[in-house]
Amino acid sequence: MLGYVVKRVFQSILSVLIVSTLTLFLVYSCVPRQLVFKGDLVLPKIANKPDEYNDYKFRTWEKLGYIDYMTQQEYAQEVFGADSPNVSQALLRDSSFYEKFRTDLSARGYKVEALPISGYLYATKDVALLTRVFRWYAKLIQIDHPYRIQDPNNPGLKRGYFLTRDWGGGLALAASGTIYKYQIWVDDSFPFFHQNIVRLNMGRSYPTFDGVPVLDVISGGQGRSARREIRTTVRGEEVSFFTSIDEHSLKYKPVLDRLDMNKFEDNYADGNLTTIDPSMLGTSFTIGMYSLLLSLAIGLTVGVIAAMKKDRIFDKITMAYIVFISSIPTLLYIALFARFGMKVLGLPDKFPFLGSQNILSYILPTISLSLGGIAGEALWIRRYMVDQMNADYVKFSRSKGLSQAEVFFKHIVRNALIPIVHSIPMAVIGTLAGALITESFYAVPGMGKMFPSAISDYNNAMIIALTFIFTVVSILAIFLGDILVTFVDPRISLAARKEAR
Amino acid sequence: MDQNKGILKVRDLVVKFRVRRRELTAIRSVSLDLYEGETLAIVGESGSGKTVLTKTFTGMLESNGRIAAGSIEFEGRNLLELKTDKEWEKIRGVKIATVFQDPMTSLNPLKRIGIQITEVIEKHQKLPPEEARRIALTLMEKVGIKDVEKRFYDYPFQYSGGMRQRIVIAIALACKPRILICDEPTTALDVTIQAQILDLIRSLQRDYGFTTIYITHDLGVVANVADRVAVMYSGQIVEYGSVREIFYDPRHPYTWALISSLPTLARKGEPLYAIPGTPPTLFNEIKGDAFAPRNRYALGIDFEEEPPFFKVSESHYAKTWLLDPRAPFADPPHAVKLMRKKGNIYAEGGAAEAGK
Ligand SMILES: Nc1ncnc2c1ncn2[C@@H]1O[C@H](COP(=O)(O)OP(=O)(O)O)[C@@H](O)[C@H]1O
Ligand code: SF4
Ligand SMILES: [Mg+2]
Repeated sequence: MLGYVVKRVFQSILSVLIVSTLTLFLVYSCVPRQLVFKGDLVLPKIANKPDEYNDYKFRTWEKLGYIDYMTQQEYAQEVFGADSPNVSQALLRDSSFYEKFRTDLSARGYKVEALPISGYLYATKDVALLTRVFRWYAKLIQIDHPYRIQDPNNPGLKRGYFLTRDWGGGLALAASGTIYKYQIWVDDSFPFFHQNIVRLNMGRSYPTFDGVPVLDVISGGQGRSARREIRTTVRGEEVSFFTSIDEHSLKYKPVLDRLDMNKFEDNYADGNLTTIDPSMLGTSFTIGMYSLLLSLAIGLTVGVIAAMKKDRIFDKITMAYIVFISSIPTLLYIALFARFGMKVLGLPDKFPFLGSQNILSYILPTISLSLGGIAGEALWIRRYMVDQMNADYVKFSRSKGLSQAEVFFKHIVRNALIPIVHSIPMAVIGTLAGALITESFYAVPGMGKMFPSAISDYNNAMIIALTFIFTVVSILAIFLGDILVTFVDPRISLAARKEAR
Repeated sequence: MDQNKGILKVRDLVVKFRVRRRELTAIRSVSLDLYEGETLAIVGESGSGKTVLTKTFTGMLESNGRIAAGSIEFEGRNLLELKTDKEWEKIRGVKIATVFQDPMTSLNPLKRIGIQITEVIEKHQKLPPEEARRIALTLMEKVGIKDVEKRFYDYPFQYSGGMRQRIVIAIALACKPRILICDEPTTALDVTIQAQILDLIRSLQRDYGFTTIYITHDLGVVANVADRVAVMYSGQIVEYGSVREIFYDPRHPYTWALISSLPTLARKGEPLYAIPGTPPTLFNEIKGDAFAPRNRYALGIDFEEEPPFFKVSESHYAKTWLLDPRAPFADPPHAVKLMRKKGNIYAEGGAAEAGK
């Protein structure tokens, strides 16, 4: 059993790696680097300053991993040290440093060129595709520990872990010397257990949400900041203040100002804001989860009833619905449903009308997202039930003298657990795919809406991060489905499975 | 054996099925007597209506089927007057049990073997689970399962085909039925297992004293198990008699054809006999004798009028015009003559044919 689970975990991780690597290759090789500036807001403003324009472009490409970029000044700082007077000397027009820059960087494989106005030199080197992919993985996993912060201005920084209570009064494992103050804590928001020790770094967002780590964009709150009153003790004094800082995201801040001193005892004063709207991840998760439950609950019920009333009116309506859903484009039935929801039920057909705080906003997107899943589940379970009702063992059970109801509940329904479990991963994947369409359609601020816009904005890091998340969720669903099946199907007991492979 | 004590009496049974707005007649006026304690074999090529006929005894016809006419008398009442499933459930599995063809699919693949046995016992005998389990274990031993305590909790996939059929038989016998219908119980099994299952049924029959209806399309099996044989063709019984009578003195050309196709009777170097043509479609009214188009002995009248049963002996009847005194002589095929010789009751035809 354990062996099988370990093997499946390994397979799942491998699958995630394969998909993300493919995505990395695709994004890096297929997105022409000139296009990444399409959504850039700075570039047009500096279009008439060729030197700045040049510099900005190369810097951006370097940030995105396309090239390595080195200016004359940077190289001088590297050679002489950052604060050396020689650095400004090296930039003087008749300095021999020009020649040195040319020879040294050419030797390193860089292409050296001069800025059009100032004539300062800069060097660029394309990063090979493979290297780019490698670098992405190299910085992917970041582990926080008490020796992470090395601040020369703060030699007395304490290092180590300690237990503490957060503002909400909850118990937390905190640390000093780490990047994040709070390492592990528990609260009432999903998944209830949180940590900052291992964090994924998938690069920074650009050009939209410029400079913010993409995972923060995806998992950080949205909308207005939410202020609340905090009562706590700082250096033994009772204090109370209004703030919108999310204390669990507090990071090491080298220099503290007076305001910080009033709120915090230590250097951990740099936090994200709590906001009134949930994150993209949270929004998509809420809608996706409810929609999945709806698909399963309604789809399975309808499918079972249709099978029991095969060829009768209920069954015919169900089949008509399934055919309708599967034959017309998704966008079309969502649009039709949205019109119905708006005109007849008076629900908002755009999420932002009432916003994330109003439950009415969620109704149409959630139901729209489950329309396809309901059809899929109903078709699947109906076919299974019809098949089972004609199975030999059902006839034999009837000939044993069991009643229709006994056969149905003691045999068929119990057996249906297996196809139901089998169908869950597909339902999850279908929901993910559907989210792309529904969220865009209803302007839901979630990952599903973010994904197509990341593509049209050439936000490479975002595309890769979202693909990664979708892949992980899909593969997790398949993995859990496989594990669950071994519990409901005695024929695939884990031991037997282990032997069979 | 007490040949006179009838247990089941079928009279003029007609079964029709609705298939896409058309109606087919699967059983065309069948009458049949079953005697206490005997084994009756019903033979006939597939599609002849053997299964449909016996399904009517337990009210198990598919929903598109109906009994258009006739009666089935059992324990002093006409079974066809049973209306609700509840009434039928007092017959099915309790008085009349069935073993189906394919043991691989007759059991629920996802329920423990033991539970599939005890659920019948608990339902019909209203016994507590512990008691039911005890009976089930005894039954499992009786049908030849070893290590029953452990095997009780196994799933069907942990049993071989032969073992599963033993379990199916155990389930069928769980409530000590009076009639056991075995619908081609060994067709899906390989030959050595077939013999074991046949033996098992025979020995259980001795112990439990039930009456067996044994359905097969394999005459070879019939000789092994049956006391009497009924030959079915196109929804009718065309000949019936004791095993000896059917094997050694068959009268109906269809029975002749069946016997001719027995591999053991084939002449060396000659291709195995196969009955030419296919059975008639059951959708249309059949005029004359159903077998006539495939029958090389067919007479003019066969295409016009259905033959009645002619009595051959007290227990032997055949439904063919050839037995009419006015009919010309028909020379039976070689295999049949061979059988007649074997049976040493080569009565009719005169000496002239003997040498041929
Ligand atoms: N549920 C049904 N609907 C329509 N036709 C049926 C049905 N069950 C049996 N039949 C027809 O009745 C005839 C007899 O079938 P059956 O009794 O199964 O033959 P067999 O002798 O092989 O057991 C066949 O022609 C079959 O097609
Ligand atoms: S009645 Fe005629 S057709 Fe029918 S079996 Fe006898 S000889 Fe053949
Ligand atoms: Mg059959």
